[in-house]
Amino acid sequence: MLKSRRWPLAAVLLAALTASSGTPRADTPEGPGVLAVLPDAIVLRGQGSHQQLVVEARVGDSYVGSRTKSSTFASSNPNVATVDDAGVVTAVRDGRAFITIRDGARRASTMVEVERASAAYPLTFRNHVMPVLTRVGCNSGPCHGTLAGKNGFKLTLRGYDPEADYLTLTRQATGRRVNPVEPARSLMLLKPTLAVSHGGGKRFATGSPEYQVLAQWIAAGTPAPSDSDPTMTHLEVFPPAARLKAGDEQPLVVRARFSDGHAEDVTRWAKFTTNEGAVATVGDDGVVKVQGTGEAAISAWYLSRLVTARIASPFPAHIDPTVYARAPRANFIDDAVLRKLQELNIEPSALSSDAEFIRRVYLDAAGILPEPDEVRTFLADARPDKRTRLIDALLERPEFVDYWAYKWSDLLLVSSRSLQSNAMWAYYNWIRASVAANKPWDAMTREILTASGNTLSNGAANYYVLHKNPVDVTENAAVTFMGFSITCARCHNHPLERWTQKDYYQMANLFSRVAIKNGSERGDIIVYPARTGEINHPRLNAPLPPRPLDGQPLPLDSAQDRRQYFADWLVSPDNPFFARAVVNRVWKNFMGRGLVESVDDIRDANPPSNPELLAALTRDFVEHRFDVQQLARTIMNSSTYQLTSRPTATNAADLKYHSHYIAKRLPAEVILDAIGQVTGVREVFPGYPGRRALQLPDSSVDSYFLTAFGRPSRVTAADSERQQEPSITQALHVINGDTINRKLTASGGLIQSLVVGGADNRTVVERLYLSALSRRPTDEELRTLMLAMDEATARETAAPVTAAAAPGEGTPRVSAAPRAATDDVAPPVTSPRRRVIEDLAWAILTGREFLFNQ
Amino acid sequence: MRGLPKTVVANCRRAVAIAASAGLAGTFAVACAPRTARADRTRAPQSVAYSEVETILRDKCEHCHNEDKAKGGLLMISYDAILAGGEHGSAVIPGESASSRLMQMVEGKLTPRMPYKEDPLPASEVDTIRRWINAGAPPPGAADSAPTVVFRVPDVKPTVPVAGAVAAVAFDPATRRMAVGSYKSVHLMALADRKWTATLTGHADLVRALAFSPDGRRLVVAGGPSGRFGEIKIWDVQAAVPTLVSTIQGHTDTILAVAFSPDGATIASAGYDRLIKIWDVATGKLVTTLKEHSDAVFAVAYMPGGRQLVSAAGDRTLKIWDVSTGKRVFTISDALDSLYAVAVHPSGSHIAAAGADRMIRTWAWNADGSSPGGHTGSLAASTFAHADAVLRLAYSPDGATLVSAGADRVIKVWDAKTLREKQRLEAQPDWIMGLAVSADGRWLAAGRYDGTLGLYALSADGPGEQFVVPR
Repeated sequence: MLKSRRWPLAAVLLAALTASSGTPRADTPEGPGVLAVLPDAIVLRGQGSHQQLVVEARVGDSYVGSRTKSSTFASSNPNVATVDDAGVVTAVRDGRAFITIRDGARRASTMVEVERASAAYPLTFRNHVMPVLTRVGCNSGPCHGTLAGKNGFKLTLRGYDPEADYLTLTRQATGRRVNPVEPARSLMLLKPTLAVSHGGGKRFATGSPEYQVLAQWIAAGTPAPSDSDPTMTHLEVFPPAARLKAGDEQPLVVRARFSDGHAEDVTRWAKFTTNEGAVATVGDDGVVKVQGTGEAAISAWYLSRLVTARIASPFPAHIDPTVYARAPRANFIDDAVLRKLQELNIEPSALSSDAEFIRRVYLDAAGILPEPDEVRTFLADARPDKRTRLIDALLERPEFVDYWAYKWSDLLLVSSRSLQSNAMWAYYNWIRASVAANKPWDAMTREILTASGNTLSNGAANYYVLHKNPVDVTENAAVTFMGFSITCARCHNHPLERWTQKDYYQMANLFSRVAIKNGSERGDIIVYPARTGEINHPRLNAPLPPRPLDGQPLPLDSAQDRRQYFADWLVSPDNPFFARAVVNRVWKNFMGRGLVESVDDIRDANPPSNPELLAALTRDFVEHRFDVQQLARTIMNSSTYQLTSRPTATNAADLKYHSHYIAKRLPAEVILDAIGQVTGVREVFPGYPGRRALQLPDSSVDSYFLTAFGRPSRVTAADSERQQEPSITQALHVINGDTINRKLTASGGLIQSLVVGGADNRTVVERLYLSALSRRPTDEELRTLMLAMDEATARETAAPVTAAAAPGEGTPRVSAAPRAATDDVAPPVTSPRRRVIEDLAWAILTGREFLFNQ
Repeated sequence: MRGLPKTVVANCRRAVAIAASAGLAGTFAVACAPRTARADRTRAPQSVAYSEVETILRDKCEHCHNEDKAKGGLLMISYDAILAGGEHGSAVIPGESASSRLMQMVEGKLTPRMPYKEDPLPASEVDTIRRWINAGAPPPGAADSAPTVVFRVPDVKPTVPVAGAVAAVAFDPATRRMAVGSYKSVHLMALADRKWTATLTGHADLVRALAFSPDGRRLVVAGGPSGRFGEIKIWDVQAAVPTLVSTIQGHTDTILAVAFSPDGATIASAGYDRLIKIWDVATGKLVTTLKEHSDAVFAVAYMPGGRQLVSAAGDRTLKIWDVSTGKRVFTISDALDSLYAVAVHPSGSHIAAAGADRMIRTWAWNADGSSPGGHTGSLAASTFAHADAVLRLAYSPDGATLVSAGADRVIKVWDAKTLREKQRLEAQPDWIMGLAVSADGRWLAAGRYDGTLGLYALSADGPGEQFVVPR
């Protein structure tokens, strides 16, 4: 039964994989592939040292299923190393032994070397005791890791400070927790085994491996953490990747390798998490269970390090390989995307229509709708490269500058909430000028981070007004320019990231020599480098040499400008974080989803949906000297970007691998501008006459509409500040609010000109469709709407409604709003014809097709 | 056994374990006699030992029904607590499993099914509880023909030479002898020739507190195994070979501090169980329990005159108690973190305390409310004293000097009034866990976690004498 379900899939995999790797087929009745054993170079050091073997079926380069359970194991020399039925190899005596594995007719073998077996490998507090405490949860947030501790016993959260924990366990509270003379009477063994009552319940059993580690360490005289402790050099997971299907189980094995050459099977002490529970879940024991289709990253956390196993679970559909071969490819993006789609059996959708494309590209690149004439011209254009031409033309438009200036103003938190109005303008103008000049992203970033002088003349210097202390700068710079948060590390080593508290304060110390003072007028602040200043590491109570994350430290007494040093490191083409972060942000702007989502949560445990693509885009971006415009051009020219948003029969479930364009609700500012553009009645913002929403320098401009549709407040650099989720407020405002209705009833504008010009039904429908949806109505739409207009006109004429009486009679409009945002004062007396056209426009402007980019 | 008539047992369940492990089975029978009688009334033929039920409850129930959480107002930490029931009434109706809430809830007949949001109990465990209730819910030990609950742990031996900490030191009032605490034992040293003269043994665990009686005839030794119980032994130390006068078991966790009242009639013990207990020295009877601290009580001291007592606790407070009424008269909460040490100025005019916030503070104090030293309870002086937590404090007998020991492995000598640092002793090899100044003001003794002892002349600089405490 099982086999018959698996075969067709396996055949497809084989067809795909053998072609690339050239590995011969080695199918057996047990399943496809050859037998592989992991890890491959096993050295067991110390008495009783052991390693779980991982037996996998391998097809080409892929592991396609765990065979550990069904295999049998034999050791060539049990006097050297034994192996049990589960595949655990244990050291006995120095020497070498071969382990032979049989799975039906398939066979594999591996060599095990045993050294220093006469004595147990010495346990250290740092490398052995701490992982046990972390693994069983002692130092977790709800338990003794909480700031207040539990029952007077407090550990550092997830063990970020082993020295402190060591003293707490051995000495604090009159040494109540460890009994060095009678180790088994130590409270730290009695409580978690419930030999005496424990608020945290039973954590492990007497005699369990956890118990043995702690007991042995106590018996060895509680050796303290020391600088000479071996440090972990590698953390590995086996298998590192696997292609499985829903229902499969895959046990993972984690191995740590240390600076003294010792390796240890630490599967039992590792903490496992999944990034996509809908694809695969993982148990505390490291056994992965595949739940659905797609890809999941299973992270194993041990000693403040992470290693990730990638689990792929291809879609069950049968996609002819020629589908991928025939799919349109414009540039390297398409190659990477199609490769991923093929791996996962996801069919790409067809290319978008011209009408779909023009509306999409205007909105994504410049936040505006194409004018009806532009649509008509483009649709009529017969040149094969017209899309590329359109993209190039768009990149030159001032609205492109408006849009990206707005976008970077979001990121850089330009707001009168925290800056004086003149300073805010200076900051905004600096950003806009940078975008207009297509200033490379590295140059722009460097100017911000090294800014000095008057904030009114050098707008970039306002960055240091917004972020006044080293802690703020450190945390903001990480999110803004590198796409991840290191805030956790301010207080403790980051549980799911590689950055430690030490890394944090070393980076923070790069910003300890920025000073500000008041300038000549309100809002004018002078940012200048200070000659002295340090920030202390809070536990060590001393400053650490300034160092940018994984960079080299600068001596504390160095006279070099620390900000300059940071900027050099940050914008270096070799910096793996900087270009990647902005590439991911720009990708999301066009594609609706970051390759890493969210764009400010780039972590090892949260890998990209297409790592190869992100790497290629980043490389291309760096090669083009951090040219954001070029990056946008490359993305927009890809066939991937130009696919239709309509899913095929099998790819609707994919919202991650870009098999079709992901329809997205338009940003608040874009909708408001678009309504103004379609109706010909632009929104007027108090204090900013003549500016569209996307031309506003400030996010605090009073606008109910923008707030309701999730304009970010620009307080933190978090991507989630912009709310894209639909809400009742939005629905009610669109339907009943005055934003749309006032524009429809206004004198002047499109509606009036259609009425005055005596446009017939067909002209009205076509014009509104072209304006709002950038397409002509279908014949069906045209017929239906023209008929509806006739009927409505008849009704309105039979029962005329005056403008003043309109509200409250069941019509969805609110007219005669007292606060006139438009130039007219008295609403015109409305004709039945006008009311019908208004209703039609209202229906279009409140529809999903208008509010979304698809 | 005749040497141990004064046993006070706070908790029968624990007492069984204690008795068995300490070889004191005879004492248990006396203390638990009333319960045994009750058990006889309800005993049934197929009864189950409470110890079997206790194992289940400890594993499955206690982590929510403990003193911290007490879900449903129900504590399941002891036989008495379970029988007392919770806010929904009785949990157990002896003899009637079907109408006992405990039974109904573990069977899921009453929601929420217990254990809450966890796997149901296996049928065998449900059956054990049912049979126990039906048998009349016999108390600990009652169903067993003899106490069988032994505190058993695996045999794990140190693989390297180890020493118990020296967590307590004390000088006798005549400055002839010094008592030095160690693991399960106390060693006496003659100060004249620095010779170890006697060893007091039989203590349940690490000795964590020592005090000589004001007349020098008694030595009180306190400690007990962490998480289980507190133990006090009173020794007659007049003769060359000291004799045990009495053993007191009290507190539900180890005792951290002990003090003799100035008249020598009572002692105060403070424990990790957040309690302070006053004991009558002559009878070994509990006089009163001072129950107000919300965290471990690390230090306790009598005021001169003995009417008042001051305690320092992990809850960051000092509390001053009227010993005769057992009422708290004052709380001082200036400290920013746990307090580990308290010392009373010999004149009674000031209290000094210190702890995890690394500060030493002194407050003016006047038992009668008059205020020559300043308003009662007002902060007199404070200083940032050590680079890590302050563990111990002691005044010199003339009140001019205050000595502190920190987790930074430093001992400092301060001007008691101004808290200006006068002297710093040589670097210490480990945490100082026992600190005492002799009654004549000449000597300072420091017991350390590593099992060593330093003896210093208080008024002189220079290295001290170092001792390794016998094992």
